[in-house]
Amino acid sequence: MNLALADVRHGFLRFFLTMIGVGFLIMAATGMIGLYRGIVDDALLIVERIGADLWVVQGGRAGPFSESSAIASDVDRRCEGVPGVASVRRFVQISRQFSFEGRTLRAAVTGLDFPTDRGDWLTLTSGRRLVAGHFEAIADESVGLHLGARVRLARDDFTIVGTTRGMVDASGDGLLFVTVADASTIAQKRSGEEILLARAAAGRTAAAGPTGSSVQQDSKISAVLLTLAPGAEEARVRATVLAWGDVDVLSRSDQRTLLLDQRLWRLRLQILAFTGVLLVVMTIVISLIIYMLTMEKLHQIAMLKLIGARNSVIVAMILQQSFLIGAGALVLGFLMSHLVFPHFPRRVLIEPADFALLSTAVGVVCGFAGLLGISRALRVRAQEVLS
Amino acid sequence: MTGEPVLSVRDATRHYPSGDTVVKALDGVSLDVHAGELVAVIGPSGSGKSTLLLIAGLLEPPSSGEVRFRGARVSTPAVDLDRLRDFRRRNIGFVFQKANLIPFLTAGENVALAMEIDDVAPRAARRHAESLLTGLGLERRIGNLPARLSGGEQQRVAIARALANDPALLLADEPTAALDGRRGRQVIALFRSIADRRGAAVVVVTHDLRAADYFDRTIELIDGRIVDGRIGTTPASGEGGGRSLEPEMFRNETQHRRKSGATRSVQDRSWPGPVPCRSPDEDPIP
Repeated sequence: MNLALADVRHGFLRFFLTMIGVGFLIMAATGMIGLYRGIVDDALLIVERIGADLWVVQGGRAGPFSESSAIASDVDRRCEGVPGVASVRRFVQISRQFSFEGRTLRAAVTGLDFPTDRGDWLTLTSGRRLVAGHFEAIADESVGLHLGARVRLARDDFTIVGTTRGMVDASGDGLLFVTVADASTIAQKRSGEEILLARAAAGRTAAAGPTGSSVQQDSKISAVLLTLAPGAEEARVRATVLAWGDVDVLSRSDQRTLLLDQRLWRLRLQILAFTGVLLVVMTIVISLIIYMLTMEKLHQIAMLKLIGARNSVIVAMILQQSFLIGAGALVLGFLMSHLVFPHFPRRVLIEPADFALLSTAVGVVCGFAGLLGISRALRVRAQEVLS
Repeated sequence: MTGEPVLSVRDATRHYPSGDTVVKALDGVSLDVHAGELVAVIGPSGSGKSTLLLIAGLLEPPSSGEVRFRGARVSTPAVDLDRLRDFRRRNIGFVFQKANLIPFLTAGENVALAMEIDDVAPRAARRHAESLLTGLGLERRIGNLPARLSGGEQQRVAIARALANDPALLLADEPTAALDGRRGRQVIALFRSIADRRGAAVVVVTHDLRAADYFDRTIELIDGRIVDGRIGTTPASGEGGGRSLEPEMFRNETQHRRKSGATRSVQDRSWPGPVPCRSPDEDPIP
């Protein structure tokens, strides 16, 4: 006879509601961990998928994601001449807000260096890749544009020829891919006030003398992406490019480190801190629930002792109930996470390894809570049944 | 009575500190109870009846003195009662004023549990529990939870549970206090039958002297001392009175004692008497 199961059967609704309560806590913890994973994954998405070995960015800057970066328009051609470089692509990314069918949408407009890059590295959910040098765009579904939609950016109309899913920038804006030429045009569109301010600034600069910078100050090219030839020495390529003096070179690993440890570190730390707080709350709540369940049964435990039940019978009952609540809550938490989080605006990435880790944590918490209950139960004396 | 007593309490005292003073709950009590004997312990509140029962039931150690079971010393002031749990399970049955049934187990499960924790195979335990409950007129209540049973039915389930491991000693603390007079008498009659048919030594702490005629002896405690130890009177006349109306509760021997694997079987124990079975004439205790 399994006492724990018999008790659960008898008070199933109460146990189920307890499981739902703990399940919500687990869902919240899953959500926090998933949000963290989603933000990291989104931030690294371009870096990981675009397939560049080296990023040539503005000198003295850690661009284009951690800091702004603008490089001279001839850097791509200079890079093409460096031994060991197999291909060169220009990179532009700007955030834009625009109107579409009466709604205001946001997108991270990202330039593909057409015709070298037609977006072959993108996984399309519908449509096709870019085939024209102008006025075509591939939009992520999160932007809110559908295939065939026509959207006005700067002074031109763009047709959505393809769609992707889950392609967003570090801030969560969906990516809208156009050619680099079009992206530069969109980036250069300025309001009348901006033009006036720019002219005034140029006048002051002229009065103050030349800056000596080799970078065109109105350049919208953020970086040049280098793909190395097989067998090429990265260090040699890097040294050659750095010798020009006006640019810096970052590897994929450098970009990853910059994003995670600099641009996003506060956010990551915040989410991890919240996750920690949530786990502590979860520990306390589960412990209290199990402890209270044990306290409610002290009289029955005394009776069990009176009729000669070994401690193992009592320990098994408490631990089994503790783990039943934990296991049920995990299943409910997992199901609720998969039902709820897809509707969240930011991606919540539930990795099996994270859930396994969370399950282990819940198991440890249940074990700890069970031990609390057991320590109380073992102090019960058989004669307390008379009280 | 002749032969070795089942329970022998020797010069037992129990002192509780209370502030600067010491309360003598039990003060040098000696008591022998033999197999088949039904003994009543009476006395006013605070006279030490329940304390005597706790010490005799190995639930509390005496402050001095000792408790012997079939001649073997089992409890002294220095005893570790937790280590006596197995002994208690196999040799002593308890019935209290409240039935103290496990609320999430059915009547049958409550009785079977007492055997399962003594390593009887679940199926055999279940069958034996059913036969015990049937014998007590509860055959229709076997699958009911305690909340669906009346007070009298709960008390009979508690008695069945106390009998499940065929104890040589049955201790009952005010088992009729929550029952009306007629039901109370029926419960005491049941104890009489258990003592007679199963040969168990039964000690009943009670305030209720309406069923005094069932007892072999009545021991009176006042201020922790035995002041009177009378031999029971002859059965009284009247409704349900005395041994003359002793219920025919132990007619049929159960066939549900089978040995199973590595676990203990109900048959492994010595069964001094047949399994109780309710007589058709007997008015069940509701």
